[in-house]
Amino acid sequence: MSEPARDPEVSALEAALAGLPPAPAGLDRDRLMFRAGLAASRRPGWLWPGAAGVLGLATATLAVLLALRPEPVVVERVVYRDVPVRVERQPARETDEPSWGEEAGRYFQAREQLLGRGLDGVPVPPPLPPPPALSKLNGEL
Amino acid sequence: MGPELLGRLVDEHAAALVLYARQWCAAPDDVVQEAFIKLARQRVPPAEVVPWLYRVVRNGALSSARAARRRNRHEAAAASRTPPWFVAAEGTGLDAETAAAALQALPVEQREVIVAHLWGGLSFEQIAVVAGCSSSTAHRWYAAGISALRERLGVSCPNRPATPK
Repeated sequence: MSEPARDPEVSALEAALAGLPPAPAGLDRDRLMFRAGLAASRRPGWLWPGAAGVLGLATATLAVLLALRPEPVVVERVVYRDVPVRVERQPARETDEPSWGEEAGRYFQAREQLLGRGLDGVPVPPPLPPPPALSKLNGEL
Repeated sequence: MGPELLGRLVDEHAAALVLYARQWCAAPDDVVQEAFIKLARQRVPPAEVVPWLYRVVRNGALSSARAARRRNRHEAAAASRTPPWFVAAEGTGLDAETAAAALQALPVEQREVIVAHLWGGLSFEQIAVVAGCSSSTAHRWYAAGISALRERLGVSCPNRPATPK
């Protein structure tokens, strides 16, 4: 900015005023420097407050999402699967087999004959032993 | 900002800053001290430190003046006992108390520009940034203030060269 032409009296007044030193400041210089150093060492760091804020926000968001989450729908479904079955063939034990006696064999044989040939197929029973004498029986009684 | 530079700024500018803050508030020392502490707290120093200090002091002084108006009468009376603005100096042709009284009679915007320019060494562009006006307005306030001071003080140039007749 170009200064206009100066009046010499104005310049003299400016010089006279500027020649008046301001009253010294009532500052305690040592105290000021101490406080300035203290302030310089306590510059606010934004890393940890910022990280804490971000984490807090994330926690709150997750809490809201958890609270507003819909109930999970349970779907039951039958699934058929082919399961290989291991069959172990165990040897049959003789004790499991029914033991048929000789009389049973004769029974089955007589039944086959009866069913196949009717009454004609009924085997003739062996002759009965002769009955004891009647007198002998009376004597014993 | 290192302590050496801060100490040099305190030594060179504290008195003028206190005079500047005195235009608004009754506790200029506290305002200037807080401005220096705020400067020390800056992670990146301002590009133009001295105008920055003047702007911070101006804002602080205006806030302090607003707070002082809310205080009770006792504190206001205590604040009214202001120390002298200037130190008496020989060879200037001006009485310190008279000059301070003449300066105090000016409107605050004229006082602000005169103090910032004459004792703070700020250019009118820097004053415009600090005061929030245009540089032409700052210059106009300055010229009006100097003219009013010239009339009040009735100062003629002591080293004025003799006008050729």
